[in-house]
Order: sequence, then C-alpha cells, then structure tokens
Amino acid sequence: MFMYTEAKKILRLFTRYFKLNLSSQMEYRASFLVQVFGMAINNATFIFFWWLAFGVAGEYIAGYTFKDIMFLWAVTSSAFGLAHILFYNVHRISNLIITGELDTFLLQPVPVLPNILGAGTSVSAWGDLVYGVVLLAIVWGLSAKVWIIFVLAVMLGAVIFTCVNILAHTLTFYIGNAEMIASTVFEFMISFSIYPDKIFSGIVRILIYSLLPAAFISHIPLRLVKDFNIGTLAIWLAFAIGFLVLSFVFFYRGLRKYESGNLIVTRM
Amino acid sequence: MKIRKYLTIFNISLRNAVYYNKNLFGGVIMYTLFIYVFFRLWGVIYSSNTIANYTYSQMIWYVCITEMTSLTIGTTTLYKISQDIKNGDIAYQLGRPYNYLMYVFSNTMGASFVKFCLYILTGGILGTVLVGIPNIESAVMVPYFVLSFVLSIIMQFSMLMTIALSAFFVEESRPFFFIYSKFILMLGTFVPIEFFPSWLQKPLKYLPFSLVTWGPAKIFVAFNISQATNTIMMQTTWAVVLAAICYFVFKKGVRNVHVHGG
Repeated sequence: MFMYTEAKKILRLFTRYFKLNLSSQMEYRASFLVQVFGMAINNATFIFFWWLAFGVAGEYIAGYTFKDIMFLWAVTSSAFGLAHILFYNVHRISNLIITGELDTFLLQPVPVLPNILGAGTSVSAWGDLVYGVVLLAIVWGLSAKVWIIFVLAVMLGAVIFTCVNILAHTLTFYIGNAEMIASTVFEFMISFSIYPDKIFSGIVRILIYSLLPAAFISHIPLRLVKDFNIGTLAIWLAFAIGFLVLSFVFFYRGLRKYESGNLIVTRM
Repeated sequence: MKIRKYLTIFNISLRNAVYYNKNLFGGVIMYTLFIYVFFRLWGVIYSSNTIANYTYSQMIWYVCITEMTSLTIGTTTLYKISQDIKNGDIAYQLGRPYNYLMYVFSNTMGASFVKFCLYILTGGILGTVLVGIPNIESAVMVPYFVLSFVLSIIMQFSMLMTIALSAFFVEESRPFFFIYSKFILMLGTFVPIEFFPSWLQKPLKYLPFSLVTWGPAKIFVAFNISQATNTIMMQTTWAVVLAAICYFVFKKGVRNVHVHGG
C-alpha cells in the first residue's frame, strides 16, 4: 500500500513538472519549433552517412541491414528524447551537490530524486523524440509487433539513459565533481547504441551488456523485432528494473555523505 | 594595426585553455571514442583491400586527420558570441580599443592551438597503434599539408563567425550551428569525397564544407602534387571570399546595435 501511494505521488509530481515545463517552452513558440526541427534535421543527416557506408559495403555491415541500423537510430533517438523531455535535470545532479543547491530539493515534501529529475527539460529533445517516430514509420511501416516493441524500447531506453546518468553523477558524493565522467559515460552510451553491436569485441562488448548497457537500449529490442523470444524479453525487462533500483539505491546511499552549505536559493 | 595586442590576446587565451583544461580532456576522450568506433566499423566494412582507392590504413589516418581538423576550432567559443549579441554584452566589447573581429580571431586561435597540439599527439598515437605508421612517400607533402590545414582553420573560423554574427538578424542561431557542423561531418569528415556517387564528387571538391576536412586529409594520406596545388588554390580563394562575407555581415550587423548607456 505504501509503495502504491509513493508511486502515485511520484507520477503526479512528474505530470505537474511536465505540464509546467511544456507551458514555459510554449512561451517562445518560434524558438521551440526552430529547435525541434533543427534537431530532427541534425539527426537525419546520419541517414546519408549510412547510405554511403552501405553503398561501399554491400547489403550487410556486421550482420545488420540498412533497415536494422535505422531501427537502432529510431529507438535511440526517441529514448534519448523522452529521457530529456522528462528528466533533463539529471545532468545537473553533480552541480547541485557541489554548489549546495541540493538543500532546496531536500527541504521539499516530495521524494528527493524524482523531484530533481523532473525539474528541468530540453526543448530540442522533442525533435529527437519525433525524429525516431517518423523514421520508424518511414522505414519499418506500420507492423503492430514492431511498434509495440518500439514503444516499450523507448520507455525502457529513457529509463536506462537516465539511470546511467544518475549512477555517474552520484559518484560526486564519493569522489568530488564527476560531471566529466558522467558526460563521457553518456556519450559512450549514445555512440555504442547507434552502431551494430557486433563491430565491438572484447572488453567493450562486455561493457555494452553490463555497465554501459547500450545493448539494452537498441540492440536487444532489434533482436526481439527480428526473432521474438519471451526469455530475451524477460531478461530485458528485468535488467531495466534492476538498473533502476540500483541507481536509486546508489543515489540515496550517496546522499548520506552530503554535507549542506549555507547557500540560500529561490526556485522560481 | 598593432599586432602585439593580438598576440597578447592569443597568449592569454592559450594560457586559459591550459589552466582550465577540463574541456580539453573531455574533447580528447571524445576524439578517441570517435576514432575507435570508426576503426571498428571500417574494419568490418574493409573486407576487400581497397575501397575507392583508399586502403584500410589510409582510411583510419584519414579519419584521424579530418576529426582533428574539425575539432581543433570547435563551435563553443563562437556560439558564445551569438549569445553575447542576443543579450547585448557585445556592446561592451565593441567599445574597446581593438578590432573586434581580430580580437575574436586571436582569442579563438589561442585555445585552438592548444587543442591542435593535443589532438595531433592523440591522433598520432592512436593511428600508429591501430594501423601503423602512415605511408608518407615524399617530404614535400609536409608544407602542403601544413598550409592546407591553416587555410582550413581560417575557412572554418570565417564560416562559424558569420553564423555567430547572424544573431544580429535572426532570433535563434543555434540551428545554423547544428546544420553547419553536420555539413562538415557528412561532406568529408566521416568519409572521403571519393566514396560519394560520381555525380556528387565533382561539386563537392569545390565546396568549402568538404575542402576544410577532405583537403588536408587527402594531402596527408594520398599526396599528389597537382591535386594538392589545386586544393590549396581552392582553399585560398574560399578563405578570402568567406573572410570578406564575415566582414560584410559584421559591418552590417553592428549598425543594428543600439547602446543605451548603463
């Protein structure tokens, strides 16, 4: 019962933040649209690169077709977009800890981590979200199976992207400013999820199935689209939930080490 | 024009880049990641010995050079100028006793020089470890490469500065930076022009976006004296044209600045 009430509270908080963030973006409608379309065009240029690469390589690159690569791009782009629309503030965790601004979040009568995550958004992330949906529709058509897996992949991908960031930023509690570690880890995650997993070997391949779980963002969903297996689906779901729990536990353990400053902050 | 004050600005910017080196190391990590991913990707694609007259080793060295060329200048410093224009801070800088364009150029070059030293070292180590020492047939290549690289930096600066100055006329210049960086990546950084369909290759060899990366990299990996001379002539022409456009946009934009004291 307690868990249910907490979950409801967090969901209500995210909904409030979402509405608030969206309405503040809509104040500058022209700027919003320019940034959304700018980001969509930005992503679309990579289709050109892959068209050239398949032009010289033939039908397959590391067992992936052009259509498969577009699926990786669609899922990664939309998951990245959703994560940054809802939880963009995750990138500020290190900064909040170092400057002492975390105090403000600790004083409010809502769970700390969800409160931090929802407190910011990225305008251009809408472009990433929309781009993935449009790309999938154009390249993969309207197959129900593909779309169900895509929607699930986008939601779980957004969770995994956010959790990786939480884990990396939480290191600030232990070792000091971990902003650079977090941004590097995040760039690695993005880069590994938009290329065929089979081009990587050895330690990198182990990493993308564990600590930097890029494979769980895009490669495993593609495997399910091509050859559905209930066992793979179960592993995928279990991994995402496990990662979520791990990141929350790690954050709250780290929070015990936090020392408050005397900074006075007003949140407007 | 007193060159000494611009050398001082260059020097200060260089020292700042060395002291506040967090971003530099971030850039080196990204550069390494990029080279690694492309090393693996091209390793899979190169099942045959050559593609479009590039061997696997040439291809990796090509990517090391193009990425170094585009990352050396970066977009961050110049993006800040468009922010300064939007929030009005530029008014303070325009009133100072220097040529504003020369000030920005010297300031950008100071930080870029540090980045260049880091990237050439990282690229050299990575290329050698991954595919061995590059096959340089003639030492004549070196001055051609250096000249082509310097022209590439001037061209990139002029294009980026023009985009930054567009903030005098448009509300949001960020999408132009996005589109510019993608042109640079797609038209020569990721793949050489020779990989493009034949109907596209000819126009691309004359476009500034491809000349900035493909130009010096092609000279480095497959030196041919007549092609190198041709590339440098094209780059020189573009460097002059782009600098002139930048100057014109600046002069026109400055007329839009209204200073109300304060």
